[in-house]
Amino acid sequence: MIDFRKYLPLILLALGALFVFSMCGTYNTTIQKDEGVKAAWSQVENQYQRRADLIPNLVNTVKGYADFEKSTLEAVVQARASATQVRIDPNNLNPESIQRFEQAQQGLSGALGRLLMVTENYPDLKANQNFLDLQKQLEGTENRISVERKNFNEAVQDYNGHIRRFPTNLLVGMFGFSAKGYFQAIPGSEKAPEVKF
Amino acid sequence: MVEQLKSVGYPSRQWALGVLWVFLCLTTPVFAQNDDQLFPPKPEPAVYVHDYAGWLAPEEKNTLEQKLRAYHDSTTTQIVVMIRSDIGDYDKSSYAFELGKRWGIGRADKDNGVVMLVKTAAPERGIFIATGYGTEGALPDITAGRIIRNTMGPYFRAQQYYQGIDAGVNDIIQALSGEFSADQKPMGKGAGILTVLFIALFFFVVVGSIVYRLRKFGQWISQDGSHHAGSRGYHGGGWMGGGWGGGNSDNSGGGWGGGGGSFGGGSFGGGGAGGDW
Repeated sequence: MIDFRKYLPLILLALGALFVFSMCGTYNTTIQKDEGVKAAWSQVENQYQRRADLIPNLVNTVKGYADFEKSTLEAVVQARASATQVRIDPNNLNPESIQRFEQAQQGLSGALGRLLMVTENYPDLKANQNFLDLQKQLEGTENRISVERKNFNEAVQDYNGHIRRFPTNLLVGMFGFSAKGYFQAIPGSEKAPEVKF
Repeated sequence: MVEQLKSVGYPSRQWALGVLWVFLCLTTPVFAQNDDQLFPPKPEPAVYVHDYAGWLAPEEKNTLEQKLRAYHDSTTTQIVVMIRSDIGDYDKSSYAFELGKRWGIGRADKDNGVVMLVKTAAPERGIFIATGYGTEGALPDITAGRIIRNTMGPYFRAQQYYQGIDAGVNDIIQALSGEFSADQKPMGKGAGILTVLFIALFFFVVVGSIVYRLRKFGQWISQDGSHHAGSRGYHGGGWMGGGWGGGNSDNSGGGWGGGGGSFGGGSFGGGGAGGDW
């Protein structure tokens, strides 16, 4: 008969080592998923930036049409300014900051939508090649934004699902991991806004 | 459910619950039944022309398929033509991106996939050309839009659908010309190094065992009978056998040679353009 007590420290040591190893693995996976979310976020930011960069050009093109409604244009410029102001630290992608970002961008989307609706009334503008090209680019950018938002949400889902599971949830408190925020589908905005003429 | 399982004749209640549990675990990942009907499973090996609306005659479909297959073989670029009347709640662009993503159209390292979606019926009737990340440069949205408007549109309005699709594919190929080439074989460097390693190992083992045997043989010859008995233990054939087994186990994962390839993880970032005809 083996004396169990003689081996007890050894067994405990082995179990402890096993635990530490598994925790290391879990920690690394968490870090990896965290980086995945950050990468997806930077893609989202890129595409929103791309949209913001198109706007001065668009505004200048439209401004050339002397009688164009000043208020609509100003609203777009304003919305762009406030949207580009909202920047989020990629280390802090919690639900509140995502929502703040989203609201600012949503304001710009709305202003742009109104601008494009008003241009309906200007046949000359609609025939302007420069304007048509800008419109196409804007459309492509909206497509890219929606794809990257979706990718971001998937990365977040993967990450959030991971940190809530056992045994990762034990690490969450220790290393300060926290759940990240999703983009909410605003009614009617799952589809890219119609920029069609 | 549990009652049913029991009446089928499982030994105990725990058993039934266990089976139920496994069943639930297996089935829960399939949450989007509807989507699975909209997106056919990834064809393996790759099939490039999918006509769910019956717009192409069999020989037209075949010609187009051969063309796209040959194009893939020479450039590794994958262009998929999908003709459908129903895309559910998706709009054309998001359906095309989703299809590209699910199948992984294009090579993973080049993202050189293109999806041409033809939605044959209202609502949202029209064409969308979705470009993978890697093709966005050579085939920008403006070019894709122009191909639909100027090349495909006139044919489609005349109801010459095959001619329209074929001309559109030609334009895409032209736009992408020189962008990708089949320089690296898809077998890849990794497999090549593995093969070399296996061969090296094989030679090492075989040559090593032969040298070893010769040495022993020499000892045996040069010395008297008492050593002969002692060295017998080293004479087993096991070494040789082990060497053969290791050498044979490579080169089983070919599969790429047949032409046409398979869809391999290309991704789409929302590039492309659409339009009606």
